[in-house]
Amino acid sequence: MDYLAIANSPIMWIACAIPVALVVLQSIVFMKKAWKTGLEIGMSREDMKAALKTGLITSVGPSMVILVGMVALIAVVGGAVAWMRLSFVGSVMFESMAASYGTQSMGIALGDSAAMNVDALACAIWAMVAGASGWVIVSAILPKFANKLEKNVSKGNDTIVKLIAGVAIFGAFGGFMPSYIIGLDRRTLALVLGAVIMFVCMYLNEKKGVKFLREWGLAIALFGGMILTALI
Amino acid sequence: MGQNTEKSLVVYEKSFIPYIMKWGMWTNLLGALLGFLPLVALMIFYGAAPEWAAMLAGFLTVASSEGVMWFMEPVSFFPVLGIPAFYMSFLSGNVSNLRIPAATSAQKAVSAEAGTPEADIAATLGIGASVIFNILVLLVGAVFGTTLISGLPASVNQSLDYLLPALFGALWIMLAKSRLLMGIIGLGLGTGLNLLCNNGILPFYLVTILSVFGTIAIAIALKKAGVKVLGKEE
Repeated sequence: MDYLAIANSPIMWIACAIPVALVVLQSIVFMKKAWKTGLEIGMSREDMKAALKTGLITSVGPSMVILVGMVALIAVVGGAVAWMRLSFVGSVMFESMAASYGTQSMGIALGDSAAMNVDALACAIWAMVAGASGWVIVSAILPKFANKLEKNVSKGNDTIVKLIAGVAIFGAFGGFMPSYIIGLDRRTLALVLGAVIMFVCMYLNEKKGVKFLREWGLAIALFGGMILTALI
Repeated sequence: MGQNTEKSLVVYEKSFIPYIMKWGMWTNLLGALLGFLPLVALMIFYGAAPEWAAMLAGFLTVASSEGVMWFMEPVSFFPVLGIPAFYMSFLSGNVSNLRIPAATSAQKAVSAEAGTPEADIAATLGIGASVIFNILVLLVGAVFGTTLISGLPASVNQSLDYLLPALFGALWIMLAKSRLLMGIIGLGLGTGLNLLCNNGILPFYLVTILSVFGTIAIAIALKKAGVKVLGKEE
């Protein structure tokens, strides 16, 4: 039997759907609790709906990028596994790399459909899953320690906690934005255009009262920046 | 909105966070296990029997190139995400290119300051929406869309290269507009670190962690020197 037929069989879809269902379950449990807690601490339903809607709108663009990246993975490990890996722990770059390490350790190039077999597929899945398990395990355990550490460092000093939370994001952006800046290519242009369009959207929202831009501004900026860059 | 009354902090710290930490820990640990199901299914139902030596070699190759990141990324992103968003982001993956944008834009939409209970709740809702949406989009793509997507004209594929930079530029200005000083410091520090990495002086796995904790350290030092690092709202 062709290994891709096996990879796309109902049994494999079920085996992949179970871990994905866990991700959905966690999200639903957390969201329900967050909604309830939000009401208790005096957040309005409108605000919480706005948070949901904004998270959703923001996901459209990045999900398209992930979707296109998934195609290469589907071709070599089948739809079910590709879907699971990109819904659960993984990321586009990591998965293709890990899968190829897995098959290479059996002397088979990933995607060499003449040589690929069920054993090589198993080895690819193993390398992706085991190779990513470190992230989930560390993430399961870290908050207990980090929470205590943060409390000790701040000694109940609320301003330090807020300061750390408020500026950490700039450090994170400092980590991954420069790869688009240093090259000084079209991606740099996209970054600048995205920023300029967003600035205009924020100005119109805050100063001119254009309400819908509060939720849609980011989507307009990212698709606007992308399309303009492609056209220029 | 936004006032931290005593009562809301108590509800948040005594009820919300313990509940999230209990569920978060076991769902993420269970996730680490359940991920192996497709492999088990291949072995049981289709008689796959990969050699142990090959599996070990494959794992070690991945671990040697990515093993440091298992620790560096969670530690770097913990102060950025907050506790609930942290568990969700690492269980669902695609942290920097999807979850962080969803969380920060949701927080901004409700004008919640990072580090407050309101911010954690907005991030939980924003990431939750992104998790479910992303899973559905990829499911439709995996079942029906392969031919459609691979048939996309090259120009569309190329345009998608510009999507993430445009997103990061927009997110950066969204956050930095009222905190320009820290926005520029973070970006400047990060650019320096990235350049050092490109020149082979700094290992790649230190870039983000040094950028995050360096920015935090600079902010604390500036704050002690009396600079209003969080902008006018302080």
